[in-house]
Amino acid sequence: MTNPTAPLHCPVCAEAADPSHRICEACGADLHTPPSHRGHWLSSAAPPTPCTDCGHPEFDPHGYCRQCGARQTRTSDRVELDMATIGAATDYGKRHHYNQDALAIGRHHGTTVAVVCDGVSSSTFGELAALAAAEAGIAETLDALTNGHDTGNAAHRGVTAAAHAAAQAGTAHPDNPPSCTFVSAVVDTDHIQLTWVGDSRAYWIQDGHATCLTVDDSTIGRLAAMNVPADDERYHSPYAAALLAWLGADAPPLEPNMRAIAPTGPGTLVVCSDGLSGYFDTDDRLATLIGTAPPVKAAAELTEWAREQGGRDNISVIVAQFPPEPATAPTQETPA
Amino acid sequence: MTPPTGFSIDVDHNEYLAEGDTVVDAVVTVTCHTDPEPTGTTAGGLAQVIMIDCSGSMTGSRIAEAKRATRAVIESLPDGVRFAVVAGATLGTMAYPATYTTAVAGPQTRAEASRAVNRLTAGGGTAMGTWLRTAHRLLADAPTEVKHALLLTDGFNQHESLDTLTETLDACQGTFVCDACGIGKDWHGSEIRLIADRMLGEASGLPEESDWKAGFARITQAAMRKTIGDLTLRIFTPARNEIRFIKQMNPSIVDLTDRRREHDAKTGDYPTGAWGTETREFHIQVAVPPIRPHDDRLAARISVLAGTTELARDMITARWTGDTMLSTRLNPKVAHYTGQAELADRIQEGVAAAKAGDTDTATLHLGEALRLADQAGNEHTAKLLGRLVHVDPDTGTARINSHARSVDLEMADVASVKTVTVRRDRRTEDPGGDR
Repeated sequence: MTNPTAPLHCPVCAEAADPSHRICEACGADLHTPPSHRGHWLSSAAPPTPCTDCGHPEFDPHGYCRQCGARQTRTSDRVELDMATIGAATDYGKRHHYNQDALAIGRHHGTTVAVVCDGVSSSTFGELAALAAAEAGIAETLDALTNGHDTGNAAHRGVTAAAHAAAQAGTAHPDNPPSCTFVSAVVDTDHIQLTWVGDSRAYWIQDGHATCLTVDDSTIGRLAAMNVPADDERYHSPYAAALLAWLGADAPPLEPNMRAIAPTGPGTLVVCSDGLSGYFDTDDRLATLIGTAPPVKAAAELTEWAREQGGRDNISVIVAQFPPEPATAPTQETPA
Repeated sequence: MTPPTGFSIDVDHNEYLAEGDTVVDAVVTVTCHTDPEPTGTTAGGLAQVIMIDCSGSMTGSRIAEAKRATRAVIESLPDGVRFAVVAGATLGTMAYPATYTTAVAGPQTRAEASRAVNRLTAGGGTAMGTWLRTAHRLLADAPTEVKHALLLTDGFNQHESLDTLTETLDACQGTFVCDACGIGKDWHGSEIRLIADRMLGEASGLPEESDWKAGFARITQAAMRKTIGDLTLRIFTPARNEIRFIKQMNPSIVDLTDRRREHDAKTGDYPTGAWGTETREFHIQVAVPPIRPHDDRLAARISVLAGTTELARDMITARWTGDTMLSTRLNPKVAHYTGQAELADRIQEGVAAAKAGDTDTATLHLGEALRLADQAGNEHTAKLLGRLVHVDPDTGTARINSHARSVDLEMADVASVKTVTVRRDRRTEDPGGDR
């Protein structure tokens, strides 16, 4: 146990904490976790509750009640996650019946991690792949950081674990297994490591300008990234918008896109599903929307804005502050 | 995709329901991909009992031809197959071997069995239940994976009550699979169907003596291709759901609804008999609680078991939709087998009416049956029905063929449960996904 009289900051979100508390009031992390712990993360998984139809507590792996057969989605329809310098919000929108997106945020010492996965709606139970991938991805990334891997290595291990978890989620559906996109960001004090498969995106906002950092894994995305003019006929092929890469049991071999950037100054990172980015006419639209609110509030505001635009898809947004630690952050923890 | 077990399940169903709907129809396709070993190595896994009608009606050329056909079957038995021949009359007696057991096929036993068959004579009545009880006694003790019997009769079960026959069938059920074949022209199709249905075998008819040799060989060869003794369909249904029916629909119709053995409160087992490398299709209708907006429910979970080993599984789901395009779209396989079930009913009702002398009812049902058979591509059934009824191609008016023989009615009756799969060119492909 820590000395109850010593001043204490949460090892996860750096908020000042009352040493007599077991968990941080700001983010829910265990205040007395030994330093070797593999970090702390939160996901958009729905808390386990009994069946809303019959009250039975058990569900099969697909989410069907073992008593009455009513399905309970394992992803939250709507949730906000707050870890101070990184915050997230997701909402199932106005057209879908439930949320096929999943997201997770986490922290290991001074490094924050964001993962967004968008369940592909043409697959069966895409959210099972999305949630499995998001949770496995963030857990493995934090684990690798704990074990001393650099951010690039940790991110690669994370996407590999996510791909495995998404494929495992599909074993019961050989014909049309659940599948999802993946985008992760590992943010430390010097740079941001991005890793993605599919069309979920990351944006960098600095000095009133926003830039998309990712290239969609689709014909349109790749043509645009090569600055091919908009009148090129390839933009209009029937499958131009179709995903060329995804995670799941029927996915092509894993070749994640990886990119590291070293920002020249403080700014904001936004990681999101196409439920948000689909409403941007230009990248700078995002810069006009994002204010100075704390990350979780900014994420919730962006989510609400996407709903106001029509909410035709599930919306998932993570906002991370760069650099991740406030200048006053404690640099050492109290040993256990 | 072929799972490592060699079995796969596919579910075709009307997944999307409108608010208030309560019925989910699914066609479950079960395929055994395992290539069976050549008969030489699996022969020890099969016991085969042939029940040959030796009643008084078989006198003359019939018993001679039946003996010739049976001898040909015996000659073709591979070494190692266990077999026996039962002479069927008022009692089912052992023709070969002399005691109540099965012999192991080899040069010597095949020769002895052929001689024993040669000594058979026709005489006495017909009580098929006694034949089946003898087969049951032989096969219950046979140490083989697959236990198969073939009942060949040229008459109807006139020296035994229907109750006695059904009681016997109930007692034999699950011990062995039995095909039933009417030979000659005086058998009853409904009886042949009853035996085959209860014993999970195939019903057929061979009216012409000249076809017997090839026909007997075809039936026994089909049994040799079975390598798995008994497969079970296990169906889990959530507490408020109810299985309305489960029928095997292809290759032939077998109603399994009443065969349910309770596994636990929500799970029932349905036996399907012996399998080789083959595909069968089952129509399952499940009632679910009235669908409310945004509902996503499990209707049933299906698995295939050999003994207690699960080989494959899949599920039938029911989802709400506000889109009537989705909720009213009939799955092509469900539509097809609903039509095949109606075809079987029409033939059976039409044949019963014709035998009762009710020509109007017979014309109505058989005319409609012929139309359904043509539409679905049941060429064999359509051909048999064509002997019973003529349909004017211009007016569509049906007329009973006054020259039809009574055996043509029985042949149509037996064939009523034979179905065809959905024709490839009629299948509606699912629209592609958005990725």
